[in-house]
Amino acid sequence: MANHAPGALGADLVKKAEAEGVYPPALVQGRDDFASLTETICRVTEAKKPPREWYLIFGVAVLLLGMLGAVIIHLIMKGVGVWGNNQPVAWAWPIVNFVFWVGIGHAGTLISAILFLFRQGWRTAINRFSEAMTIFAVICAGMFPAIHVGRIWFIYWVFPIPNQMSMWPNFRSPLLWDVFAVSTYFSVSLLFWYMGMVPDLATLRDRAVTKVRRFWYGLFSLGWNGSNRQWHRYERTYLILAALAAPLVLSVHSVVSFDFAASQLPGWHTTIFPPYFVAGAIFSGFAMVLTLAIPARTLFGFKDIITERHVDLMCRIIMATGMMVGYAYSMEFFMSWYSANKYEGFTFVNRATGPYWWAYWIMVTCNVISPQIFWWKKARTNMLLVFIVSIFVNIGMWFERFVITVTSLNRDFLPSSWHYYSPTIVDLMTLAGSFGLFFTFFMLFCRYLPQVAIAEVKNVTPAAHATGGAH
Amino acid sequence: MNRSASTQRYWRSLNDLEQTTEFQDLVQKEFPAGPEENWTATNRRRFLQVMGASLALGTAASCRFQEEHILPVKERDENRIPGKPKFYAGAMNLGAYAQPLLVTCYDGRPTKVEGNPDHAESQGASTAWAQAAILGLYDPDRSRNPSQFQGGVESSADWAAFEEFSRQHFGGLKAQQGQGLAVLAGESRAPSQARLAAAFRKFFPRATWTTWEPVASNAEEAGCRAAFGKSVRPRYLLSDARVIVALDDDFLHARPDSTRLAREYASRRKPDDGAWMSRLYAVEPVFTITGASADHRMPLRRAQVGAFLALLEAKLVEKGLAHPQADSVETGKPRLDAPGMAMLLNAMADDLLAHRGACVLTVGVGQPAEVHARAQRLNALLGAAGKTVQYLPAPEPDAAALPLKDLAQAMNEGKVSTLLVLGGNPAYDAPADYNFAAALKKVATSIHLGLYLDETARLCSWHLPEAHFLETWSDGLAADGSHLIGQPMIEPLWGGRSALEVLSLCMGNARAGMDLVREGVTGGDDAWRKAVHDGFVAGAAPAAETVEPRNLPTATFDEAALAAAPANGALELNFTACPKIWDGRFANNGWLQELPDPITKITWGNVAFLSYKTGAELGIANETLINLEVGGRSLEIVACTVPGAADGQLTVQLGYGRTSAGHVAGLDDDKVERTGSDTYALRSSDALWTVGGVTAVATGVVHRIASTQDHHMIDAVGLAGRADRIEDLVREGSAEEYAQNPDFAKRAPDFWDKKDSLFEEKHGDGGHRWGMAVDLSTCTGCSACTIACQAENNIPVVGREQVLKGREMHWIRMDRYFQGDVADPLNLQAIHQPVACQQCELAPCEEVCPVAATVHSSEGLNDMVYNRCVGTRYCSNNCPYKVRRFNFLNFRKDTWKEGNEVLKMASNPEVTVRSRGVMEKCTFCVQRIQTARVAAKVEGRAMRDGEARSACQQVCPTGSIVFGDLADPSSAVSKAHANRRAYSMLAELNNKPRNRYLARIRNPHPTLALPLAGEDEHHG
Repeated sequence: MANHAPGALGADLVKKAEAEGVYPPALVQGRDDFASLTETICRVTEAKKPPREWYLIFGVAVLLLGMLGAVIIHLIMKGVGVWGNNQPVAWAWPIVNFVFWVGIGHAGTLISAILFLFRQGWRTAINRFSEAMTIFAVICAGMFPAIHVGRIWFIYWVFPIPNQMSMWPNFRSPLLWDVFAVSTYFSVSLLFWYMGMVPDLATLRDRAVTKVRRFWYGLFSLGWNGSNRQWHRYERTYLILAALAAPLVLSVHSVVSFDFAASQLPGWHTTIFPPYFVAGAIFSGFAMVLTLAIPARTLFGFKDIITERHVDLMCRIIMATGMMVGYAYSMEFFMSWYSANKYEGFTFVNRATGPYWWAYWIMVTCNVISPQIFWWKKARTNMLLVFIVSIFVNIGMWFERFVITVTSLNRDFLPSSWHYYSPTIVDLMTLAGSFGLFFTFFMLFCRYLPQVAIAEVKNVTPAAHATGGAH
Repeated sequence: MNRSASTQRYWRSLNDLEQTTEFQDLVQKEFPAGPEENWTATNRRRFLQVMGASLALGTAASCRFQEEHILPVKERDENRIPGKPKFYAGAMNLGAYAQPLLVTCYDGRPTKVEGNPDHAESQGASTAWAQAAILGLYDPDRSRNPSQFQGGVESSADWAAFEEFSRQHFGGLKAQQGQGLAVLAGESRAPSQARLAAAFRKFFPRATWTTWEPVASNAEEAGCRAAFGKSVRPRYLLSDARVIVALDDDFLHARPDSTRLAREYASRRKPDDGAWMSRLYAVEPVFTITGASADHRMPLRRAQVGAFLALLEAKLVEKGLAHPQADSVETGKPRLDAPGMAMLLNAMADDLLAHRGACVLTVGVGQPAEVHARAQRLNALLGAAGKTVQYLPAPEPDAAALPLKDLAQAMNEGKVSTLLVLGGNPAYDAPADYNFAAALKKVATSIHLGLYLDETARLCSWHLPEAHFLETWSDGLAADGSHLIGQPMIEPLWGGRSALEVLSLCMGNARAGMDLVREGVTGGDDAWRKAVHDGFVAGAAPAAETVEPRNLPTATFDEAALAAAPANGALELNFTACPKIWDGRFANNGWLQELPDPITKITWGNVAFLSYKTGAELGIANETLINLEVGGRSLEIVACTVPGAADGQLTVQLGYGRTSAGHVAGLDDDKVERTGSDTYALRSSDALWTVGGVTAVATGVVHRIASTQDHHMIDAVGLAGRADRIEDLVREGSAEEYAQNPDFAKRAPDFWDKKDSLFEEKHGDGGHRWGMAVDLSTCTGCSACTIACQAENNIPVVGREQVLKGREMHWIRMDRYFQGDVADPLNLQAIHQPVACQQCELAPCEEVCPVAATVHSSEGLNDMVYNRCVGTRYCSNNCPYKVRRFNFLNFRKDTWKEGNEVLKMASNPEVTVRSRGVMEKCTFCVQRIQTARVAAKVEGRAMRDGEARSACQQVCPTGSIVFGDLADPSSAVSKAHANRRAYSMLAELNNKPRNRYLARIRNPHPTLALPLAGEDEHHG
């Protein structure tokens, strides 16, 4: 029933494609039945040894994570000055990285919650995967505001907890809103992810052959037995959580954008920021999902589950959101001219032609120009090309945040305080280390947890279709 | 301890006498130098000995209450309230003259220096050098004990050893009437030093006496002697001067009486309510703050300035000035021309003649005596003598003194067996052709008295630690001729002695410094007490002399030196004293090293300034190393192309490239990098200030200059953006424009009213409303405010690397912009704008702090709560003035180093020392407001206007900074805000800053209509 019902996002495209007979009706291909699907997904965690590539990626990630630990210790011992931050560029790479990771953390909840509410059946193949990505990306993101402050040991003052100083945090500060927005987003995403995983964990528990597996999967599957009553409760809860999470997708990056928009710095102080940031976040989130999914589907044998069609649909979303950010870039320029505010006007001319022109044009090339190739279907189904474009988008979106943060700060109102900003090696190591943190978590997830929502994906198989949909 | 009890004459307790370990522990705790000192074992012991000795000595001889940190004071000294500051008058000698000071001491520890408000010269204002003296006093690099060098190997000694040595050595010399004894001293005119020098020369009749000062005004007095036939020196009275012509003279900064000159000059730069305004012309090789203040400025090479004066003289004669040598003036006219010069000369001559008796010409230290002579004679001919310039008696030249050149020769020839160097650093700063360092090695016994183990000390056989002027009795001659008295504010930290005491010791009669100084004050105890209390001897200033101009020989000019564009190989090289570290004596002072140069904003090092045009012609890029070659000597230095420099010349500052200054400015022994290049290496005795025939060779090696404001390394986009906004940030107009439209400086947002707001705004209107006003018309950009603020508010020094990264910490910075076309030097101007926290009523920083660490006080101050700050730096991002400063690293770490603990004593106890990771900024000196408030409360009255003065306001020689209560309509700051020139910076952001600027007014000559702000593109 609902499996192929058109929703809002990309749905009419799907409809059109189906009418033209471009797509087979089933989202899962091959001759998988329910049992073989379970087998395909579960055997990744049950195999004695993961693929050799897993060791390679995990090894590099752990090394980078170790470096991150060392860098953070160095940072805490020495102070924020180990980075390149200066006056007037008081925020630089750490905040750029923060916004970058938060943006990546967008796709997961969007796919799980919004696409779920819009009944986009194709989400089931990638939702678990991208939710995990969200959780880990938000962990990476959350780390940066914490370590970028001058006195890390007092960071807990930003939380409204009763204390002997009788001091509340300053509720007028966008940074405080950020604390709430990101922590709420993280908790709801985590809950959503975990909740959705319970039936699958029970499957793993039931298949477990060792005591250790039985214990741990048993512990986390919370006594799931697959009764109708449980399924009923589960579906209702999932729906409610999806409804709760859906506005967060919009709110978290809107609030992150308030950090900039609520200040009075030219280049930051614009009302376009909340939708612009949300579009950018979805853009970068989907790009990261593709960056991860394309190698993973080969590596773990999920080609039938994460199909070319999935990739195709995600490419369309990337193209759409890429044009949205492109529109935002041009609208910023228009507004800065139309406002006749000379400080505003200068900031944008300076962005495109000033000392950081290269960063601006990297951003435009990667974010606006490179996704245009997805107008062609051949491009959308060429996995290598999609992978390369997804990397471009990741790079471009990192530069977008760099452009917003650094080029606005480095030349603000008084020319006397203008100062060029250059990162240090520690900045580079921190960024690389955050990827280490992300991939360490992600590779562990790939190895020990079901990468695809087993129960859900069965709903969209031809087998399920034949006997009627579950919801 | 090997100091036996029997050698101590005075003691405080039996523990002290016996030097028990307990007592040692206590001593150690008082001065935080721990037992694990990084020195050699002997040094540590020696240090403790000296400490013990000076404690005991201080108890007996101190002029103030004893320091008793450890042992409780059984009976409190009269008037002593712990934690309450006391103020003592003092004096600081710099070169020939001294500056009158008032020193703040907390519990016997000097922490802040101000100008002596009772002295007519200072009236409370002071210089950056005086401000930075606190850091100099507590410099951990100061030498801490006498040392003896044998064959280049240092062995520490003590004063007892030196006393023993001197008794024998000078006893022997006395028997030979001082044959082979030579003394080398600075050119101080301090009365006691003169008296003691005379006594010394009498005591050792065959000894020679030499004075050497790298930056001295000998030429000025020689010029006056030539012009008037008697020994006088000029004292300019600028309050009455309508026209001032500064010829290569930075009189607003570099003269001994610059504080007063700046004040008097500024008093005529505020044409409010129709008051008359002076006009300043400046002719100089590179921008100085005087040139930046000038209404008309012409860049000329130093060698051309004399010719320019001759042309001016001829023009004056031509226009009807009665001149005794009119013919020779006309015939001796040099051939010199530059674009616009004829017009400028014409205007100057008209102005001078129109204001006879109310005009003045000043000439700088870099010009030869002939130029001084002609200028002073012109002053007399223009009727200025006795009106805008007084001539004070100067000492006759000391015919018996041995010139430095002869001394060096005698040393080389082995005729000097004993050399006594009283302060100074001749091995570093003597003219290069004397080769003084080599000569010094040939002296069998050389004794150096100095604050540091410097370049000279390391070549001497004895080094004696000198007492800092805040540690000892001293006196000095103020620039107005009055007799200043300096008293010790603290016991000598390292047991140093003054030059007076050492001279006295060498004469076999070690007298106390106080007795030596007191001898110079006539009258009884009351007169002495009053002099010490006031800081000067009342009524001791000499009367001015009358002068008659004399005939001067016809001026001759070296045509080659006047050439318009000398080729490489014939370039001119000029030397100037550094506006920060002077001749190098303040090199090891971090505050001064990091103070941005008033014009170029350069910190930590010197460069060679040259014009863009010359740079392009020579193929020299900005911020690259070049080799300068002249007279067989060469030097590698960083080139810096600057606006407003004369073509065909390079100007370098003295005082850098020290090899043995200390851990701040360079110490080869400890591998501490030298800051800047030693330009003395190119300075020879026949060309102390300017030399021709210089070759500059570009190396192309890039060397970054640590400047706090990018001056021109900026792309076209940035230039255009800057040009677009500066006219709004720094507003200026001509006197005529101001007279016609007094509101010319206002823009629409300046008329906005509180009532226009949609919101209920809280402005901090409870009781007082603290505010500030800065008059750009009188601000000269001298940057004393920056140092005063640093001293008052415990602002750390960050070092060159951090300045390069843009992390300097100054709470008040001096923004400088250039305007005009670089290719049109006559129309090129510079403008300064001090920027501190604007204390916005609707402060953007406050809203964004997540932990409420920056909040508004009820009196409208934007308070920064350091304890609460977690360091998100969001406030800084949202500050449109970028005045907030962040402790990116632990900038106090140097005080943790062993042996550096003494630095902590320089801190103002009223101000929190900020930790790493904390934001800080200007507080309007809230601690001073509190102090004044407490005083008023105790007396049960309201605070008076001017009672609470911010540090920057107090130091400002021109009174450009006004601070006070805006709630009081009669306060000075309220009046300044009501001034029609007043405007708020970036008022359109509606932050409602409590600081307002008063637009700068220039007074151009009508025939030299200069483009003013808004009509021309700005550069900077």
